[in-house]
Amino acid sequence: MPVLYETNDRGLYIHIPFCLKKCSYCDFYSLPAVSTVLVNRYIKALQKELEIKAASLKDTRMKTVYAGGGTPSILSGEELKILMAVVRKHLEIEEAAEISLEANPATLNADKLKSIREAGFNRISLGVQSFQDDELFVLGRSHNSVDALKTIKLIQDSGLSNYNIDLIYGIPGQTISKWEESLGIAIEAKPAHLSMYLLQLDESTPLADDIRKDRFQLPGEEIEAQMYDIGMDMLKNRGFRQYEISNFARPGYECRHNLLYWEAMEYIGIGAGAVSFTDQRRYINKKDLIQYLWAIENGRESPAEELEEMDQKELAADAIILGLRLCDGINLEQFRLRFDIKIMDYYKDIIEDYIDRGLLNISNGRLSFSRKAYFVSNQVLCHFIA
Amino acid sequence: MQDRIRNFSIIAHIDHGKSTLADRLLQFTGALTEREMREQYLDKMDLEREKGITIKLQPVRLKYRARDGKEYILNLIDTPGHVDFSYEVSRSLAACEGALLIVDASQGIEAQTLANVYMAMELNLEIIGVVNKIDLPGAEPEKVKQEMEDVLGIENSEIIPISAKMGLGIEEVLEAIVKKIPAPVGDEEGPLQALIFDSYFDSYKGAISYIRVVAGEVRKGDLIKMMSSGKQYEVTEIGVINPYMSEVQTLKAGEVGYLSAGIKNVIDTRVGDTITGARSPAPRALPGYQEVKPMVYCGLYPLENNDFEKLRDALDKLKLNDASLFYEPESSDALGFGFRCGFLGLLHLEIVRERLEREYDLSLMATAPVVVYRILLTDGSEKDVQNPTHWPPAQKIQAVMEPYYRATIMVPQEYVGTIMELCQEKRGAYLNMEYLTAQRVIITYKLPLAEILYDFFDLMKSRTRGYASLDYELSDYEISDLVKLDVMLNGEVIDALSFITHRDNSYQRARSITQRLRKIIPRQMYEVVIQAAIGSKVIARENIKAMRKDVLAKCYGGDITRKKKLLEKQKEGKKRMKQIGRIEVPKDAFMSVMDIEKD
Repeated sequence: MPVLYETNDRGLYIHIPFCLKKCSYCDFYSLPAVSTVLVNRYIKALQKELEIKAASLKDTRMKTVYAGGGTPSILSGEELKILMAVVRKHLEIEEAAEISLEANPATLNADKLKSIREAGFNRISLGVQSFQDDELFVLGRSHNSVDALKTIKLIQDSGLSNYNIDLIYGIPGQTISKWEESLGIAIEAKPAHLSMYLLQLDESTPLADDIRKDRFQLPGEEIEAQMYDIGMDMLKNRGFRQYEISNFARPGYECRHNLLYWEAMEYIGIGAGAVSFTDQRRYINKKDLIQYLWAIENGRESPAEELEEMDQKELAADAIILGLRLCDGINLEQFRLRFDIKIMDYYKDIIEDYIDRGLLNISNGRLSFSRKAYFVSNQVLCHFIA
Repeated sequence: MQDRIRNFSIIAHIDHGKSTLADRLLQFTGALTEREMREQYLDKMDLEREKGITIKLQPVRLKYRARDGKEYILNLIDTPGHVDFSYEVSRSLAACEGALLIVDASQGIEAQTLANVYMAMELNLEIIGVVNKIDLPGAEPEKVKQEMEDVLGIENSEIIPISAKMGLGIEEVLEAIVKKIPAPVGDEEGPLQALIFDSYFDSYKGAISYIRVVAGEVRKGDLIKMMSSGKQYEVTEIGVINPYMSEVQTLKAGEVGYLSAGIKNVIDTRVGDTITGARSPAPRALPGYQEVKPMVYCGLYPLENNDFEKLRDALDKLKLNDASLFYEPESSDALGFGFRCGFLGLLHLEIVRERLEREYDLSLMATAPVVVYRILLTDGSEKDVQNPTHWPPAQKIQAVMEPYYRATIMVPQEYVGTIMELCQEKRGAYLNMEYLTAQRVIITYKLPLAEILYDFFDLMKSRTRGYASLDYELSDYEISDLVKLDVMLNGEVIDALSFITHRDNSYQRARSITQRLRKIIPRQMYEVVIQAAIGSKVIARENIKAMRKDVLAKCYGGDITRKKKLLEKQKEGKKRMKQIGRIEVPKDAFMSVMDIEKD
């Protein structure tokens, strides 16, 4: 059951915009980490941004830290240690904080894992995506299935049990049986957490272009929906609890950092393109690495620009859209205390209609999606847009 | 005075360059400076500019010093170029002594050219032939002139070749107007007779009538009487348009101008009516007045139910300016409250609908256009039906009659077979065929108006590669074997989708509408079954599979803003849908019974 965070508890997100190479399906901003000079400048900039932000975060405790990307594991063990030391220097991090690192199988070895542990990371999220080499090729990943299995073994050997495996379904060429196979292998690898994402391509990605040009074909809605169903069933039968549309965990191993997003709590983001959500506003740092560096280094302008300023109604709408992603849904009483809105009154017609259709449930004071609603959830969520 | 006046119209098939010539005449006579010159000055409304057609008439007074050294007043009465408005054309022509007949030098004579020329001839107008667009590469002015002589009896040597676009031959046209068109001869001393050939509503002055004084004289302050209704008004302003409204003291026999008399509604200044003096009225009205009746009906419904009053206000306002628009409230199970509206034809319908949406900011759903059916009931009574929902049950119907039109189709001779085949397909009855020239044939058929509205025009154009042209006029009502087709979504009859069809076409129409709806109704969260039925007998069926996927697989702190945009878009999309039961139907679906399967 998700916890309601105390108001001065926040999460910290650190963005590392470097990758070995760009994946064909990815539309995030990232650069190949070719220049150690640039990487060093970037780490220094993160340090400076932390320094600046720390001043306004005096009474704040970080419940979670999440280094994402890009590929944060592309940094050397030493760099990761420096990074975390700097974080600890400027911010108060809770004793039992969840500290996650996103990693690519091609970037880990025993030594680096040792450093990762020493740096204080206690959770690894491994971007495996598939255990089929042809699918990995289509996705443009820089590792193969053997690399992934080796890396998982290394993680297990390092003594870390809290690791996640990311899988993608709906890949061109993927069949239901190959998806079942990948899932089976992933489950055998005994992760504490598993995310399975439907491949959803931004128009701008190379893979989207390949599909437009008919070089690859997506499996199609019907198969994709089946893959999702199969995934939910398999994971449930093997002891995972689904706690979000795309996320599954062994009891107690839900990703606390991500829970904080879905519970619409506040967070601080540092690094190029990182988003922060504080004081009813969302900010985004400059996405372009160089512009971000300049802003931080010369110190005259803020690296961030405002994304959204929200009134109470919009904040509440966001909290619904995010909160309904969680399988436990939204605690109506807590929601009322927080936003002074009675969801059941305010959205009476919509909610009654969808309860009637069996897509929404009310039980134990919580509003949640039914299982069959997950894969068509936008149909319902769009009604809550402020 | 009258010998210095010339009243004339311009008649032409669509796109033959009528408005461009009108512009040039204004320019040449100095009625407009270069700076004031907008293209197609006389076509005021935006819609007219966009569609490149003339809807509303605009009389304009030009001053021209002719080669004989004298100054003439030329009243140009522009006419609409669409068959929907042929009555207005006839009244405009009745206000003139002559007409310029424009024929495109590359297209030659077309169906509407003929119809308009015949109308002008019936009214004894002097016709001046003009061949336009002689600058175009495909122009064949000599051939077209010969055709005009052979077909219309206009002497070849008298026809003026021009290019309105390039400004060639404009002065020749003006000279011909002065020399050939007779000056008006009206009794200036007799009782007032003024023909209303158009009217419009001005929010300050009320209804304004465009008039041609045929006899007598009208002055500001006169008490006048409308001869059709007997209603009396005091003239508050008279004037001419040159091309701006300029007040004058008097309008005498032979003159053209405008009149305002504190009339609240254009219904009281009907086109074709005669204005006379209330104190010493003329013994007779001018000939040719008709009350125009709507030929085509459809339901117009606001997408938002609470816009009903807004729609009523908008219709009230449009009606001030459009005596031929008819509407009355109706309701539909599927669409809620709206109006059954009557129009002169499809173009008129489309214009009104677009104006309501654009000028009054309404989002509307229109049901498919229908003609007026006349039903003989078993109890011997007769009933007119303009809404399929009001179709009586089969056992109460003795016979059904539908309006037939006399369609005149002009076509190159190689397409004669194609056209005859099409007319047969569309339940036409052959009337006549005539060779205009060795290459051009004029075919006359009697066709049900419903078929003309449905897809006849499009098919005619596509099967003749655009070479055929069409004109039509009401002929009479005839008995037909017609049935009502209902459309059901998940077993529920959607009243707004019902339509009337000939029994022989019912299967094909049923298939076409169900297939069409399958394409335009988006996937829903459950399967949607579309059926078409006559009575309780289902004759076509399609289904739309349930939507399986509509999800944001990933949504974290960093991308919620972007992901929300997707949901916002989706929410906007839902606004364009009409929720019927639990099915979201795009608002255009209700027109779709009229759309033909294009593939």
